[in-house]
Amino acid sequence: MKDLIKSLAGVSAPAGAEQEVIRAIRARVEGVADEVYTDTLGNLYAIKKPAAGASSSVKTVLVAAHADEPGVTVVDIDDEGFLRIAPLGHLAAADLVGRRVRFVRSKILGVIYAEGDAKRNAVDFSQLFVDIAVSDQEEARKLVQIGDAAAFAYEMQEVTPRVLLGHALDNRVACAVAINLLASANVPFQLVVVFSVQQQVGSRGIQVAGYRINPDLAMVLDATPTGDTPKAKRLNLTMGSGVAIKALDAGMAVAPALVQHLIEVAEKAQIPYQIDVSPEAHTDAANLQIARSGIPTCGLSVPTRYLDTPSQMMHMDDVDAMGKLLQAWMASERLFDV
Amino acid sequence: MLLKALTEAFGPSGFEDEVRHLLREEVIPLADRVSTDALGSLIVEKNPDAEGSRVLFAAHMDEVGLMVVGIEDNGLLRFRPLGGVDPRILVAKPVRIGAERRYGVIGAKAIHLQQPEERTKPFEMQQLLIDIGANTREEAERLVEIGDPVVFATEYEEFGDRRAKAKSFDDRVGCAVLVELLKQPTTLPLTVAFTVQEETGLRGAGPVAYRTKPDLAMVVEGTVCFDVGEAKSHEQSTAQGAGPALSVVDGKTIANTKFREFIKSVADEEAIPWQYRRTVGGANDAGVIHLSEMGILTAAVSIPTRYIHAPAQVIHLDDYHNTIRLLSAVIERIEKGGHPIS
Repeated sequence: MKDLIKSLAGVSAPAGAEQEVIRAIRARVEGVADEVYTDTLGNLYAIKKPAAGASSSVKTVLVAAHADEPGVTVVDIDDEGFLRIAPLGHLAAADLVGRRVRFVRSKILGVIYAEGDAKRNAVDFSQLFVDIAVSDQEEARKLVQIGDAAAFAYEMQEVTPRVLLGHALDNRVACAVAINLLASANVPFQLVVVFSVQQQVGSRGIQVAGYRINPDLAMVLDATPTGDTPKAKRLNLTMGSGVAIKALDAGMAVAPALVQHLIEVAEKAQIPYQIDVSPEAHTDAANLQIARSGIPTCGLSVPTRYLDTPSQMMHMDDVDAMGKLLQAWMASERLFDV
Repeated sequence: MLLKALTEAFGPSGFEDEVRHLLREEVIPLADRVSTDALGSLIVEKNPDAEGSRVLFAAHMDEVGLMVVGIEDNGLLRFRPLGGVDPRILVAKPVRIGAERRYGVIGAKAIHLQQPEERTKPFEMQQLLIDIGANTREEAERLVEIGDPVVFATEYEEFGDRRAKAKSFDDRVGCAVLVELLKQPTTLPLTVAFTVQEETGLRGAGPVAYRTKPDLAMVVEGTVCFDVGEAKSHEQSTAQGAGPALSVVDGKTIANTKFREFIKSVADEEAIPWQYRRTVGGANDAGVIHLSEMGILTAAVSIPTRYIHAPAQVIHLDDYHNTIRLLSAVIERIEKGGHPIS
């Protein structure tokens, strides 16, 4: 599992330019899914047909994990060859000064820095640039086009054998859990796993995926903030205490019956869990819930420290709990009858 | 003259009727089918049953404006914005109000009467009132009603080096481009939509995309242009006279790279100048069209508009004509079997 996470978390896949991580995921699900395809926006769908002998009125369960991460895109190139950028997703300009990024298309490395007269705590994006070590605009244009996107370029690392650190653990960890689910699932319903794009800019990919699949039930896998660091915002979640069962976030409330069902399944299987009430967190669940005529949608998340930085921290115990609860939930007899 | 008629027409968000009526008259001889949807968007179809890529072009009819929300005892009108209006540009502007197009002036305390510290601060919207020349509330109530929409009273005028000013190039210039495109013969199943309520949150375009279900969509906009003063290239967004601007990323859309490359290649082959839209602020109807149903391949092409969302917006007529040339060449290329994803 850690190797799978590591191979996915090292890939740069900013919102709108997820092709490389989608390719990596596709290579891993093609052998285990019955059908694999992408759509206009770039969402990857992996479908597992029901086991033989299933009835014709078969139901569909959608499991979603977004594949993108925040990043930057080039909007202009100075005469001197410095790249001017705009954010893809919620990034504070001041947090980017000195960060290394890798461009998806050309794979080149660059460092973000601020103009000399920018005030350290009040930097805005028009003052930022990326230095790709060229001497003029012409040379830069050979390496980078306007519209090219880049994301943080840091390898995943282990703080301890059970605690991971990386820039895209949100949400490659959930992608890894979903890949494992596809490999092991043998279910009496149709399982569609979507690796969605453009979550960071407002859950755009899941909007068209929800419309396309129109499932009977949906589960969104993501990362969620914790409240267990000094003077953290008041949140009840702590790292290492179990998978987070979503009750409420900034965009949706999960139907109480769906939450209760997940709690029952977790209790019965003795899987550690926490209830996730995160009034400021955004996930694909909000847009999925209101697709078509409304889709019963729940969510499981990995409690994650420092979510809005390149140093996201997760505990493998929580990751394992997410995988176990997902499997037990799918095997539950009451899945479509809560 | 189409640009003059369109830009002088009255059409703040939610009140696009006059613009729609004008456009309907223009397009009826050019189209096979013309309809209006429940929100008021005008949908114009050519060759609806033909084979080939179903292409949607969209431009919004509405302009930013104001709405009357209160009448004071002294006959002055309180108002709120319809769309993104900077309160600092409102002082001393003449306006037209409601179905009767009543004349009014947005007034404020004269500079003679302002204390030194008042002069350093811009007026806020709640300090401003519209004067319609009424003496009392009763008199005003006979002339206007709460809910009446308001637009700037600006006329179209050409000046200088092929420049034109008007109150609503955002996005009547896009509407005019689309009327010109409809005049060209095509065999494609082509839909041109003139949408409503873009300025209040892209409300009209979603239902249009859902109804028309295109394979490809192109949004034609009047967009931000700040190529004046000391703005650096990446702060200008666009430059006037440098050609139609292709979107990279804005508040609601990460533009599809292949579609943009396709449009760029057509422009380069036809030797039509083009530029990138180099800032991220703002959004247009592409934001909702590209997410309609299972997702629609969408691009946005814009005409640089100085002093946008203000009473006197300025375009370069070369940019207008080059946008028509570019989109017309794009249609021809698609007709010949070209496609952004090939």
